[in-house]
Amino acid sequence: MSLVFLARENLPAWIGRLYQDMAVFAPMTINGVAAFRALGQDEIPDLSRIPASSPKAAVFPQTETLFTFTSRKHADDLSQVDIDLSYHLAEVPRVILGARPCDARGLKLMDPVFGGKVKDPYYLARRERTIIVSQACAMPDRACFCPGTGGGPYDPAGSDLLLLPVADGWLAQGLTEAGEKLLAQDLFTPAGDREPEAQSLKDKAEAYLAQAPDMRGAEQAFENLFKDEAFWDQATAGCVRCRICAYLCPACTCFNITDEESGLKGERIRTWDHCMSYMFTQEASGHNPRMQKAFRMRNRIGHKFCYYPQLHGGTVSCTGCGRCVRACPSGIDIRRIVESMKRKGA
Amino acid sequence: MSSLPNPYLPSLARILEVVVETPDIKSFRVELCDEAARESFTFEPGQVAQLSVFGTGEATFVINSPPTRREYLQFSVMRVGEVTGRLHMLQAGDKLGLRGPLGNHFPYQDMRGKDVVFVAGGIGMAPLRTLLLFMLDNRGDYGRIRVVYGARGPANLCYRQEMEAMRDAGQIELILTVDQKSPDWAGQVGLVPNLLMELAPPADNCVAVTCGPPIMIRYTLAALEKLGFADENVVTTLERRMKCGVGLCGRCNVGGTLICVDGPVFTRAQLKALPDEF
Repeated sequence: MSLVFLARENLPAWIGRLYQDMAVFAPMTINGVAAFRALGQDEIPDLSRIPASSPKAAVFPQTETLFTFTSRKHADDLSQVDIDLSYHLAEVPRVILGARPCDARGLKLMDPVFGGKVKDPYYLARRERTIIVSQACAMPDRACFCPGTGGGPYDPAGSDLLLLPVADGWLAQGLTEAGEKLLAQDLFTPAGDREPEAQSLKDKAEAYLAQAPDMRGAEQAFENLFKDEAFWDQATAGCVRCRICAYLCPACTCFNITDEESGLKGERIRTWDHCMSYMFTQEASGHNPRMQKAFRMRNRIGHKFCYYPQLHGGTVSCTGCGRCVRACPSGIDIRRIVESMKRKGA
Repeated sequence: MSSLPNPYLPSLARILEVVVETPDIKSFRVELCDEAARESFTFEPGQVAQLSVFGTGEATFVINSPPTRREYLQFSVMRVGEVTGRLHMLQAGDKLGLRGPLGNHFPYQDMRGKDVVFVAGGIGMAPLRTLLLFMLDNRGDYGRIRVVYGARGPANLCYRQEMEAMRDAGQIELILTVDQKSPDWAGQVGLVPNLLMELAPPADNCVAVTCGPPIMIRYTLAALEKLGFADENVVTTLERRMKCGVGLCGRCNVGGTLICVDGPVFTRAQLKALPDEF
C-alpha cells in the first residue's frame, strides 16, 4: 500500500476535520502526564511521548451507565410500584488517534472477551464505531517489551491507519478501508522518497527492543509453580495494591457492577475493577478464595500468561506496553516475574 | 437500541410469597411480570439467576424450585450482605429484577437408574432441593434417595417440614443433624461429613451430590473418596462472588474456568483438573 506524507503543521487541520464527524480520543498532556481523553474543539494532542494511559477507555470507559431505573408509585395505591428500565448504546463514531501499536493490539485482546459467546452490547457498539490511528513507536523506552508478546514497535496489527514518524511529520499507511477514508487529499501529499527515513527509524527501534524477554510459552511453568507460595510471596512483596497496573493496562478487562440511587431514580454502573483488590473475590459469607496478596498476584499473572493463552491460541494477555512497569510505585516489573517463573518453573 | 440482546438488563419479576425458612433464610416465590416471558422461561435443575434490588445491587441465587413445577420460581436467600439484607425487607407484591437462567445444571440425565445421596450443610440445601424435587417428580427414574443435611442448630434447618414429609411418605431416607446439642433437638448431633461416614452409603451405582460451606464441601469430598465414590459420581455446585454472571467481569475464575458460565455444577473429576484455589 502506498504511503502519503502528513506534515507536522497539518496535524491540527487534520484533527479539526476528524472532529467534525467523530469523537477524537487522543493523548493530551496535562501536568506533565500524557493521557488519552476525548478532545475538545481545537485541542491538539501530544503525540511526542508514550502516553501514560492506554486508550481502552474509548471503548471500555472507566465508568459507564449500564441502565437507569425509575420507580413510579401508583397514585391510587402507593404500595404498587412500577419500575422502568432504560439504556442506550453509543452511536457516535470515534477515532483513537495516537494509539501505539501495543494499544491497537490491546483492543484485539479485549475483543474476544467482550465479543465471545456472550456479546457485550456496550463495548461492541463503541468498538464497531471506532477507527484506530496508531503512531508507530520510533522511540521505545526501557520499560517497553512489545516484541516479547508477539508485537513490535511498527506492528500494524489492529490499526486502521499507521503513522510512521519522520523528522517533520508522519508517513501514513492505510491498513483498512476505514483508515484510508481518513486521508484527506489536500492535507496529505505523496511520500516521495521519504520511506528510507521511516525505515531507518523502524530498524533502530526494533534493534533497541531486540533484548525484550519472551513472555510467551509460560503456561506450563506457571502451572508447575502454582503451589510454590514462596515464589508468589516474593513476586508480590512490594505490591501496595494501588491498582495502577490494571487501570493502565491495555488488556485488563475485569469490571465491577454497582448501583447508585437517589430518590426514585438510579443507575446500574460498570467500573473498571482490579484483581489485586481483596474485595475482588470477597464473598458475603466471609470466605475469600484469594485471601492473600500473593494468591491474587498469582491469579493476575496466571490470567495473562496461562489462562488467557490457553483459551486463545497461545496469545498472552499483555502487549508489552510497559505501562505497569513505568507506573508501579514499588518497582514491580512483570518481565522479571515471568522470566523468573519460566526459569524456576521449567 | 441494538438488535443484540443485553445480558445485563434484568427482567422485572413480582414477589408472590415470602416464606420464612429459618431466622436468617427466607424463600422468595416470584414470577416474571411479562406473561410471554413467563411462559417461555425454561431452565434446568441447578441453574442460577441474578436477583436485583434496584438501588442496592445484584447477587446470584440458585432457582430452587424445579422446572417440573411452574407456578413460581423460588429463591432461598440467607441474609449475609447488602443485597440479601435488602431482599429480606421485601414483601409479596414488591418487584425485583431477574436475569437468568445462568450457568450449567446438575447432570440428572447421567443419574438415571442410580441411587443418589444428597449431602448438604446450611443454605447449601437450596440448590440440592431443586434436584431433589425434580427427582421426586420423576421418581421412577432414580433408585434410593438419601439426604444427609446439617445446620448449626435445629432452627437453622431449611425446608425441614418439607423433607420430613418426604421421609414420612417413604420417598427419601433422611438424616438431619445439628452442630451442637440443644434441648429442643432429639436427632443426630455432629458434623455432616462424619454423619456421612457413619451412614456409609455403598458407592456402587450411587451418585453423591453435595453443597454447603467450602470447608464442609472439602471434608465431604474427602469422605466420599474414602467411601469409594468415583470422581465422576461426585457432584457439587460452587459459589463465588459474581457480578455479571455471564463470563465477562472476570472474578469468579478458578484457573481458566469461570464458575458462572462453566459451572456452578462440577464433578469431582472436573474439580481435580482445576488449580487448587477454592
